[in-house]
Amino acid sequence: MKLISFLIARLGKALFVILGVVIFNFLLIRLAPGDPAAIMAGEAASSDPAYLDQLREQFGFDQPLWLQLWLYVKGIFQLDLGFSYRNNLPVLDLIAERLPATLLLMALAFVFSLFVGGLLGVLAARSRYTNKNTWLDSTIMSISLLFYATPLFWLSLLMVILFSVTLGWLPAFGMESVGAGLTGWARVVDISAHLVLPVVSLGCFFMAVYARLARASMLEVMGMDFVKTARAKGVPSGQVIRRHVMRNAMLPVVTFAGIQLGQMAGGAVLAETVFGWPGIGRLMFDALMQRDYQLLLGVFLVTSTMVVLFNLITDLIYRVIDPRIELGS
Amino acid sequence: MSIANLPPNTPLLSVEHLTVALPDGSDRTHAVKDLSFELHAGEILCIVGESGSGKSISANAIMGLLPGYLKPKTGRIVFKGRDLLQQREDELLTLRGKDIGMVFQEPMSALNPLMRVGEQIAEVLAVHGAYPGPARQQRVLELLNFVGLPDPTTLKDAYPFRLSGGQRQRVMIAMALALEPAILIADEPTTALDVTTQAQILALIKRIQASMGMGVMFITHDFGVVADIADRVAVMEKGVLVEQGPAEQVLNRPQHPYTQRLIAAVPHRNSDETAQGNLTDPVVLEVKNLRKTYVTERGLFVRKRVVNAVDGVSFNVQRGQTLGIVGESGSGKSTIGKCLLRLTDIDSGQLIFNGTDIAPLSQAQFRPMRKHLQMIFQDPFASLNPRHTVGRSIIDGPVANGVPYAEAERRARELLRLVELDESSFDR
Amino acid sequence: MKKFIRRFSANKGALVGLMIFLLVILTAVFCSIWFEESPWSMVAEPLLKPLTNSDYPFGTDMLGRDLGAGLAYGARVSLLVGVVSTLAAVIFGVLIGSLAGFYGGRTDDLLMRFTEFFQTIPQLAMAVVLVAIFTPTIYSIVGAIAIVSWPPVARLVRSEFLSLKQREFVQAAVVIGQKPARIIFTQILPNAMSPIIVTASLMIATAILTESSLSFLGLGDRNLMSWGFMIGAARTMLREAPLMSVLPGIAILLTVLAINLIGEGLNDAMNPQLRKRGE
Repeated sequence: MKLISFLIARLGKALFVILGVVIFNFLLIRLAPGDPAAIMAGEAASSDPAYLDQLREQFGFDQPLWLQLWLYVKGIFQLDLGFSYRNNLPVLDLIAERLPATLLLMALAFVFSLFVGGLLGVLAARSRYTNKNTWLDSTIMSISLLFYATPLFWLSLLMVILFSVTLGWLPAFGMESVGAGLTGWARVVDISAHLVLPVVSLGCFFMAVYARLARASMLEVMGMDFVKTARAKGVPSGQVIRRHVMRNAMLPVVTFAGIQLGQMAGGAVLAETVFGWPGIGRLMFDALMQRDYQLLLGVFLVTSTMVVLFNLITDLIYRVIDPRIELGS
Repeated sequence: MSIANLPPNTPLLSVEHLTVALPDGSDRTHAVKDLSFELHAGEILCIVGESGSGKSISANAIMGLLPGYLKPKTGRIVFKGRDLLQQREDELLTLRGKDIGMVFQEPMSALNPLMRVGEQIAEVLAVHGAYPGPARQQRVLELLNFVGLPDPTTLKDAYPFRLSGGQRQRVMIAMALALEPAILIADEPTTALDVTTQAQILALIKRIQASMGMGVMFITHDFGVVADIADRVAVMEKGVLVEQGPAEQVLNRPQHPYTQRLIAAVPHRNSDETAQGNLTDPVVLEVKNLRKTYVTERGLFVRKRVVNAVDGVSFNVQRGQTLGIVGESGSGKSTIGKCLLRLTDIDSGQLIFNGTDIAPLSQAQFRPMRKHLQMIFQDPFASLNPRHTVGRSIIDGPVANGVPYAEAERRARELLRLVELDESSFDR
Repeated sequence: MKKFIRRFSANKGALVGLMIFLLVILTAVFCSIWFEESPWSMVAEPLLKPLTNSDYPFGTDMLGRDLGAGLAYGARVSLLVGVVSTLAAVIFGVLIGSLAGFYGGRTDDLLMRFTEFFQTIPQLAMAVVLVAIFTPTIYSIVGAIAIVSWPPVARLVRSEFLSLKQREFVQAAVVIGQKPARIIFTQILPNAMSPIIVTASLMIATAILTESSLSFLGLGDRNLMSWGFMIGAARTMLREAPLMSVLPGIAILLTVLAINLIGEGLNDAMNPQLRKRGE
């Protein structure tokens, strides 16, 4: 069946990229200045010669290059992402522990930015097109530009200063109130309160991106011939926008949203660092501070895999929405 | 809506002294100026003019679909006793699609790509509250059949990209006619179609007009179309109506100098024969069994096409001889040119130039021979790099083949004189 | 040229952006004259509030370093990193994109796979990893940013080439026998320049944001004072001295905003027809 073979091909492509990251990691360790074993061990362990020797044997640093690569890749696909000396845990365990928090953060930020941004873009386009309340268009575009130019980590800090330090409305750190031991509904509320600032600050940049994109897409579609056809049929303008313009305009926004996920992953690192959010972004930052390179590379691999899979999903969704693309092509 | 109720000789639609202003900074002050014409029931009125003459403006003004920066300044458009320019938007909404139907030029983009074809036709019925219930689907099928589309029951669920240009145009016509309007406005509906399809669509429009007795306002720049279907003709130049009258009169005895120029510009069939070449001159080019195919996969309703662009073509060209290759668009003549110059690869056949088959040569092997085979392309604007001076463009060829710069420049200036261009063009 | 200037100036935002950007450039160029001491030296008492001391109008940080000097020297780093990394990314991207677009076929497939790989990987994460492993220096930072930024340029150049390749003047160039390299550089590329320039200008802004993010995370060059570093350092003083984090952020914001405005102005100036539609 065409669909199955397409899916397999697409998955193969995704795997190819993931393999590429693995090889990339491998090359980094070899190309970096210094003793590869010491790099793999990280700062904390580099004074432990027994551990260093163990690593040398495990990764075969004295073996020919291709053998090293094979050992490394084999290890990854057996889900051995290395060991974090500092934390005394396998890297995979550390990541698995933190991954859900990041997924939660990114999912919410994604939804927030897409919907709010899309809505703003549609409103802006509409006011521009019908020439009514064009101040709305100018305002939305100016605000978007402002958020687009604002560094994410700085915006996060500003929000902390405003909402936590000055106003005291929202908590600034972590996922839950420390030591409170809340359960059930109260816990959900507590986590939600902790989520607000990270989600909003992570989402603001992308909200601006989607607003601009949605507006441009809407305006472009509004100029197309089939819109004129619809009007010539006597379809009232509200219906023209809903039935004809929006569906067509949202297609490019959806594809773009998928591509943006890569950037959002990077943004998550920054947001989690500022807010102390216990996700893999924060883990990456910790790995940086601790000079724990195995952990760092492990997080990088998992983040990349996550993004690749998200891309695949959005690609599929796009193919389902747009009837012009045959699912099997 | 019933045409029969009108007293005889009353026009269906009357445009009176319409003037539409253009925004400041445009190349003229008005899109149309003091435009007046009438459309009667049962006739096809062709509005002819070059692009930019304002012929579409009146159509858009009638429907109330002028873009925001074009505003009617004076005049009236009278339809069923009302001035359309004075109507509110919601009143115009009831007219559009129901009393006046419109079809435009680009069938490729004039249908919503995400909506099924049957749904789009049903939409015009739904918007005006006509044919409620199951009768609606029935009407859609009827219409699809009426405009000559095959297999209506399956086609109505198709998306536009599955149909060919001609089929999409038929769908547009079906949508425009769905509620049996008194007037059909067709704005260059066949311009984007190939000759054969164009003929089919024109025949369809004639048939429909005859059976429904509507008034048709057909906008075009092609006098061939006018000759085919017009009852009356109105000629426009730069926003002004310069001549109006029965088709036979305007085409054969044009009064206005502009009309006369336009008609004279239509290429005529007869031309004098050129002298035959000497049959013993050496053959410079031999083409044997040239074959080039393109595979295009069309929709479900057009047979999957493997286009034989060039299918077993053979010919010879002698030294000093000029061979003219004629055909309709799509006949493959440009493809032959491209194949000869190795701008595209061929599927089979031999291209023998001065005794050597150039078909199997690689690009690098062929390049030194290129100076012997040259081409003049169709579009002078597109053939010249907009960022280079004329002189540069002429010199590029010789320099690429090893001629020293100074000599190439001298030769280029010579050539400019030869083609009767001023030498200073070199630097433009 | 005159037309270009006229069209650019018609965009008021672009003019404002240009002025701000010139101010930033001036600061970057003259900072060592205006502020003789290195921004790293501890010159005064710590945590002076801005506008309280005429010698240090921007105040000082918790180690007594002049914030004004930090802001000024930070301009230098941001511009340097932004421009150089973008230049490198553009050159590489143009190379890849033009080869892919011109030759098509297997070359195109291969190069596009390569490009897709770099485009799919999350950019900041890759930059972080690269800078971390190769130790943070100005060179590794510039290199890392260039490595993660080039794919969109390649894509753009490739699509421009694909469409321009069909144009008749390119076919004419092939017909007269020009070699491919000449065709690429003299015929096609000049016509593709405007979107490349617009994209490049916007990339400078992104590069500045990336550099500040890296510095914030502690991956900046330890010898160069950067705005991102200043914000990172100010984190511990959020309650006591919020302005310490606010000021460098405003600097980044203004610079990036200015570049974006200029980019939009360039776009309008180079593609006038897109403006027309009553927009």
